[in-house]
Amino acid sequence: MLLFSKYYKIVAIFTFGLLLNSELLASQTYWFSDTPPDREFAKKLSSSHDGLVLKSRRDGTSKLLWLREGEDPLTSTYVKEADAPLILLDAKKNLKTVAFKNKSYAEAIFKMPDEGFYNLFMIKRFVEDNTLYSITAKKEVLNHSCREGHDNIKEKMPPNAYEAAPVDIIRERMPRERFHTHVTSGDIVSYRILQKGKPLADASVTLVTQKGWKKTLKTDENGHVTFEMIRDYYPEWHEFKRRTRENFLVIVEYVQAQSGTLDDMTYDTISYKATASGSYYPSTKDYQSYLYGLLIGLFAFFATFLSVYLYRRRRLNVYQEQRLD
Amino acid sequence: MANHKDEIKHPFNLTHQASEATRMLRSITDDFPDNPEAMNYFYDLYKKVYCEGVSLHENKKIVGTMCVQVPEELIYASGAVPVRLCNGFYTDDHNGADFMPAKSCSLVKATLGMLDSKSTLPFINRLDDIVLPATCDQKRKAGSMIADMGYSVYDMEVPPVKESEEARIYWRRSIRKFAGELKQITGKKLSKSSLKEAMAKISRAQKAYRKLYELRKQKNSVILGKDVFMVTNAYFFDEIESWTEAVNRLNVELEKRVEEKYSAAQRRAPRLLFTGSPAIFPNLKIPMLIEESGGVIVGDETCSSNRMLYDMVSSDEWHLNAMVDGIADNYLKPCTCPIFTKNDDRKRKLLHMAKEFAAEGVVYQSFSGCQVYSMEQASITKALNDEDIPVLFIESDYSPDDMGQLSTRIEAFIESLKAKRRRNRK
Amino acid sequence: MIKNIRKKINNGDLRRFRFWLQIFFFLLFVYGGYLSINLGQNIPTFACGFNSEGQGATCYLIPLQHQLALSSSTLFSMAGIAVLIGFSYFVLWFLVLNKGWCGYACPLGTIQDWITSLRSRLGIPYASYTWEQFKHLKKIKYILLVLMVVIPMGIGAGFFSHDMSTPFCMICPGRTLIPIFTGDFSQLTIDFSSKTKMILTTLGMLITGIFLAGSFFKKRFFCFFCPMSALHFMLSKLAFLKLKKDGSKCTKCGDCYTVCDMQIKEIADDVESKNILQDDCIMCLKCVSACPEEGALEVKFMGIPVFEATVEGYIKRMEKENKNG
Repeated sequence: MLLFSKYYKIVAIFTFGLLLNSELLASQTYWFSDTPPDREFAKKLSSSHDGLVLKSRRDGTSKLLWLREGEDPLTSTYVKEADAPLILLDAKKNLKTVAFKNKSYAEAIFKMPDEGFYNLFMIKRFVEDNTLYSITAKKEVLNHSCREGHDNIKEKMPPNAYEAAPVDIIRERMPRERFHTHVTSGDIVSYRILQKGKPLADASVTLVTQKGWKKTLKTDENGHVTFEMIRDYYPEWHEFKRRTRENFLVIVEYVQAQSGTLDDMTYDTISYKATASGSYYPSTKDYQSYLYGLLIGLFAFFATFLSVYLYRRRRLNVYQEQRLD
Repeated sequence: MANHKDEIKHPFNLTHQASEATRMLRSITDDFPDNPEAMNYFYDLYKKVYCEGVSLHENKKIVGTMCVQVPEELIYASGAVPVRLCNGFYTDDHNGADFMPAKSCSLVKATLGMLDSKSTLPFINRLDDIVLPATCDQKRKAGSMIADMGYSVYDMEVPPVKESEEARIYWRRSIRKFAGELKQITGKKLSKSSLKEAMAKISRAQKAYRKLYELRKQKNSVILGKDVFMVTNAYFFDEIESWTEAVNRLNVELEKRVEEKYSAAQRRAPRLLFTGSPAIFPNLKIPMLIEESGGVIVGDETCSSNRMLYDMVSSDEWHLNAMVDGIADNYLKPCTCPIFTKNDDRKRKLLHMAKEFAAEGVVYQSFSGCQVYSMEQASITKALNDEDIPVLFIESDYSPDDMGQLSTRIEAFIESLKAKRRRNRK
Repeated sequence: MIKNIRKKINNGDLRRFRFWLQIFFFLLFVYGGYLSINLGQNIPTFACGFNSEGQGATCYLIPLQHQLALSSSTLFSMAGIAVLIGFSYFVLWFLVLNKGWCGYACPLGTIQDWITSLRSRLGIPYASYTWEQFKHLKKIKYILLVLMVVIPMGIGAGFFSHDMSTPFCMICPGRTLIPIFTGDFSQLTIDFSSKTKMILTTLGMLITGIFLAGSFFKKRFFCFFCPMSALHFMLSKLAFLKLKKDGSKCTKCGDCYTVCDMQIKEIADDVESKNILQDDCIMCLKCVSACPEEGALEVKFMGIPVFEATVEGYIKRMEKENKNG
C-alpha cells in the first residue's frame, strides 16, 4: 500500500504495526502534520488560512492533525496507532485534553470555535536505561476566516505558551505579521525555547525543510534561536505554484544531568526532545519583479503623456478637417 | 480704406440727434418727481455724450459691438474698450431707411444711419473695428453695408441652434477665432492676467447690477423702470469702472429708500415686466408711456439690459483656454435672443421673473419689422397666459406718430390689471 | 439663528472646506490604522485594504469580490446571510454621504485632485473629452462592475483560477498607489507566478502609469471608469444626501458645467429633473458653489437644506478667487 501523492509534494511511506513503544520513541522524531495521509479524504476538507480544516454545520470548524514519524517532512511516515495524552491550549488560553483517534492512522481532531491560535501538545515521559525521556510534539494552528472580519487582530497575534510543557517551542511573530502572513523562504524565523515556562539556554535546535535540508543552532541565554528559511523549491517556470505549502520541522534536543524517579524507575539524566512543525511558502521575491513593474508603469505613463502632448500639438493646426492633401 | 474718419460736419449740439436726445432727457428728468439723486450721474453722462458731444475713452482702442453675444471680457483683456452700437435715435432710423427695405427693424436702420452720418456718438469716427455677430437676418446683411461705409467689420459666427453640443463646439471655436482677431486689431496678445482682470472688472459691474436687480424685487418699487433702462443703457458706452461706481452709489441710495419705505411709483401701481425688442435711449417711448400711465416696470428681459448684464462667468481654473471657453458658454447658453430655434429658455426666464418680481403683467415690445420677436410672441403669450399673467403685445417703431394710440392701449392694459387685482381680492 | 448659520455656510469657501475635509479623510483611511482606527470592511470608497499597515477602514469591493468567489454552495447557504449583512452595512454607510464619498472621502480621488492642482500650478491647461468620447467612456464603469461580479462568481463556480481573485483590485490604481503612502511599495511588482497573475499585474501597472499621466491632464480621470461609482449610482436614489436642481430658476449659464470635474452636461442643460445627480457625479458640490442663481442648486440632507446656491455666496467666492488665483 504505497501512496504516491504528488499533489501534496509528499512521498508518504506507511509503516505497518508501528506502536509508540519506548524504544522507538527514544530514537525517533514524532511531529504533527495537517496534511491528510489519504488524498480522497483531503477532498472532504476545506482550505483555510492555515491548512486544511473540516467544516460541518453542527460543529463549525475543526482541525485534524496526524502524527508522523521521521526527521524529514517529505518522507516521514504516518503513525497508525498512538495512545499518548494530548493537551490543547485553545485560542482563549484554556487547557483541554484531547485523545488520539486511531482509525486508519493516529489522528487528533479538535474544534476551533474561536478566532486565534490553537496549540496541540503531545507529551510523553518514560525512563529507560537510567534516562528520563521527555518527548513533546507541538503544532500551532491558526483559526481565521475573513468572513468574520479583521477586527482586533493585533491582540490575538502574540503566541501563547503552555507553562507546564517540559519544552515549549514558541515561534515568535515576524515584524508586521498578521493572520494573512505566511512564512516564506528567505524569511527570518525565530523561536523561543521554554522549559516549564523558563527560557532554555544552550539547547540544540534543528530546522529541517521539506526536502530535508538541516541546520542546527544553539539557543542563547534567553532561549532564542533564529533561522533563515531557505528556498528549496525550484520548479520550471510554468510549473511554479506560488501557493505551494511545504512543511518544516523544528527539533529541540537537550540533555540535562538530573536524577529522580518516575513510575518507580530511577534516572540520572533527562533527555528532552521536542518538535514543532510549521509550513512555508515560496517567497514573493521568487516571482515578483519591481523592475518589470516599474518599467511597465513608466512606459504607460510616458506613452500617455506623449500621446496627450502630440494630440495637443496636432490640435494647434486649427480646422484640420479642411486639410485637402 | 474709405474715409470714415471724416470731420464732423456740424457743431455737435446743433445736430438733429442732439436735439432729439435733449428732448428725451428733459422728459425723463422732468416728467417724474423725485428721481434718485444718484441718477444725475447718468443723466449728465447722456447729456455730455449725446447732447454736447464729449468724447469718452481717449487714447483707447474702441471696438464697436452689434449684439449682446460679443464677449466683452476679451475686448477689455486685449486693451480695447467695447462700445455697443445698437442705436435708438429716430433721426438715424430715418437716415438708415436708405439702406434697408421699408418694413425693417428700426434698431438696425438707426444703427446704419448712425454709422453713415458719423454724428450721433462723439467717438463714432474713432472705431477701430466693428464686431457683428451673425444673429438676425437684418443685422447679418447690415455687415457688408457697414463695411461699404469704410469701417472694418468682423463677422462673428453664431450657431442658429444653441442646445446641441455641436453648437457649443462651433461657438467656442468662433470665440477663439475672435480672440485671435482681437490680437490683430489691438496688437496685444491675450494673457491670463489681463483676461482675469477683465473678467473681474465685468463681474464687479454685474455684481452692482445684480444688487440693483434685487432691489427691484421690493414690494415698494424704489426705482422706476425708465431709470433702470437709462442705467443699463449707459453700460453700452460708459467707462465700466465709473459706471460700476455710479450704480453702487445708486444702490446705496435705493437701500435708504427701502428703509424709508419710499415708493417711486404709486403704491398700487401694477408691477410689469418688459420684454422683447430692446428699449434704447432715446427710444424709451414705451417704458415712459407705461410709467406715465401709472404702471411700474419692475423687471425686464431685453438685450439692452437684463440679458446683457445678468449672467456671470466663473472659471474653475485660471488658464486662458478654460477661461475663454467658460466665457463663450456664458454668452451663448443662457442667451434668450429670439434668433435661436427654440424659445423654452425665454419662457422659463419670463415665468421665473414674473414670480420673483411678483409681476402682474408683461409688456412685450416688438419693433415693426423684427420678425423673430413677432414670431415668438404667440408662444410666449400663451406660456404666460397659462400662468394667468396677461400680456400686452405692442408692435411699434422709433417714430413718435403712434404715441396717442399706444398710450390708450397701455392705459387700458393697466386698468385691466387693476380690475383683475380687485376681482382677485374679492 | 439657523438662518445665520445657513447664510454662513452658503457664503462659505467650499474649495477650502473640501481641501481640508479631503485631507482629513485621507489621513483617516490611509493612516488611521496606526491610531488603531478601524471603521470596518464595508466602506463605500477606496479605503484600500492592500495598505495593510495604515488602513483605517477597508474598501467594500475587497470583501465583495472575496464573498462572491465563495463556492456557490457556501454562497447560497447561511454564509449568504453574512454576505447580505456586509452589503447592508455598505448601503448604510453609503446612504449617509451618497456620492459625496467620491468627492470628499475617496483617497484615490483626493490623489487625483492633488495631481490636478499640481498641473494647474504648472500652468498646463486641462483636457476634456468630446461629447462623443464621453458617451462611450462612461459605459466602461458598468462593464467593469459586471466583470467584478461575474469573474469572482466564476471563480466560485470553478471556471476561473483563484489567481483571478479580486480582479478589480488587480487593475485598480488604488492598490498600487495607496500603499506607497505608508512606505509599502510591494504592489508595484509584476507577479510571474502564473500567467493569470502576470497579466493582471501587468494590466495593473499599465493602468497605474496611465492613471498618473491621465489624471495629470484630465480632472478626476479615473472616476469615469470606477465601478464603485456605478454601484453608488444604483443606490443613490435612496441616499440621505441629495443634489437638487430647480430648473425654473436656471438660466443655463453653464458656470456649473465649466467647473464640473466630470464634464456633466446635465447639470447645466437639464431643467426638467429635480434630482440632478448623474452617474458620473462625484458630489464635490463645486457646481453649487459656482451657481449664481438663488436656490437653483441645492444640497439636502434628509430633506433639510444644507448648502444652497446664492448670489451673495457666489459673489463672495468670486471675489476671493479674483484676489488669489
